[in-house]
Amino acid sequence: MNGARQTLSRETLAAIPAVTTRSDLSDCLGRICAEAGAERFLLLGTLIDHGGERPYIIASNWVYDTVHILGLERLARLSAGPRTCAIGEPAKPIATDGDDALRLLARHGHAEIYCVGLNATAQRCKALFSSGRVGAIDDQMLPQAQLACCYLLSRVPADLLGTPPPNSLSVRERECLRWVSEGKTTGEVAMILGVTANTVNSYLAHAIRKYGASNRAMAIATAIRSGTI
Amino acid sequence: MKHRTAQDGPASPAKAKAAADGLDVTQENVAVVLDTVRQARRLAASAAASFYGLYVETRHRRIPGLATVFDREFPRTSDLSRAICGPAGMAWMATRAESLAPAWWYCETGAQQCPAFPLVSLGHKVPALTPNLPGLALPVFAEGGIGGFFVLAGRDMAVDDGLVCDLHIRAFSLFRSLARLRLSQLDGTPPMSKRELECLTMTAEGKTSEDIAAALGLSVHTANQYLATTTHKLNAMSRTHAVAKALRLGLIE
Repeated sequence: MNGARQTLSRETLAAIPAVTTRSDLSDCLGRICAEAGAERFLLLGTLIDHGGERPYIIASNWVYDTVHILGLERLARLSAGPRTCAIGEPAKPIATDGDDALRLLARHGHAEIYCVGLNATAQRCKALFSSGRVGAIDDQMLPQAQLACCYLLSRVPADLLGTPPPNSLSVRERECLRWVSEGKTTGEVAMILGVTANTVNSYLAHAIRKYGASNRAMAIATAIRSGTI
Repeated sequence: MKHRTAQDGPASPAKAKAAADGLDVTQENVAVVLDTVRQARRLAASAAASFYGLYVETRHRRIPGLATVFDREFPRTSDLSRAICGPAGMAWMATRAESLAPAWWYCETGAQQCPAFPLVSLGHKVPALTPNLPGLALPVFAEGGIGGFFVLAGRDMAVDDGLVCDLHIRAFSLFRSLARLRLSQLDGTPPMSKRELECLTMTAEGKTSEDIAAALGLSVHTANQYLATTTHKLNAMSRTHAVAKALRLGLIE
């Protein structure tokens, strides 16, 4: 693997900055997907609410039935943490370790699936690339496809990515959470921000309610995970 | 008590070396740092760039900014790095949270407009850092929320979209190998036990000591004890602080 490295074609890369509509987005993903040797793509977004994470589909060329039969929950489990390849890591397919979701997908024309992380924006997205034939996807090309997807997500207007994370915090609420996450007590935060301790507590209570968290620790964990602080 | 966190990053190459020397004094770590510098040099060569540098975001100082990990003049720091660690770097950082697109700049004075980047359609243009020196800044990040930039610059630099992608991926793996090194050192924090991490994870999920004790089959006192040890080990002020630190250091997901 030395000499000239493989990259996506110039046409595909040049199409990325030109994406303005939803159909452009699907077209562009389709091109990226095809160049990596994959047949199907599915772009997953994550909603964070009530302290939990809920996936939703931003764009896909999967047969609708497949998503329907599999269900979002199993889809989320399929693309959970350790199965996702981060940028800069060698690409690995999701191992077929007797998982019933994978067996089901194999029957529906997804014999091999790769899940790549796209942490381009504050919203953590993932992309699934799959093919009906094992070995069809070029694992040297896949990191290029992954990065191209990140560029794409960095470019497109937020409303194309579907619902923005709900209950976004106010500047003050975020400030309070950040200071508390630095180990400051309520009194100290009050002093830093020049407000009373009661006000700080009320900001924090709002933040906790917005996240549907049960206490400060959970609210802070949610805020860090979602990249808010 | 001043405590260096992984996000602070070494402020100078000398410190980078000290970090590699002092914490986990294995030959291996020094080797990783030196290997990263070598990789960076190769990366620069493939873009015909005369300058390269790696910078890490330090968000936990009073004024957030970029700090130099190393640059072409390793183990010293060049003038360009000092410019990057100023307001320019702060402006880049502000966009990194929302965009992974590369930033590039060139000099607009004179007849030669954009000689280096006729073929780049990706990314966005930023104000030039030094006259007559076009450059490219690639945003990178690793687990635990550590972010940074890999910068290439040079008068004869020639890149196109495909090469930018290739450089960016290599910059990512370079940054990750370095970040892993620093994470494992965790500024001397003792390793956490499985139980301690379990308690910490559950605290992050909003569970109380009682919940944790019940779920793990411990007494409430023991659960509290585990949490007290983690808080101490992470040099945190409170449990909440410990959760925040553990998440940022990538100890828990």
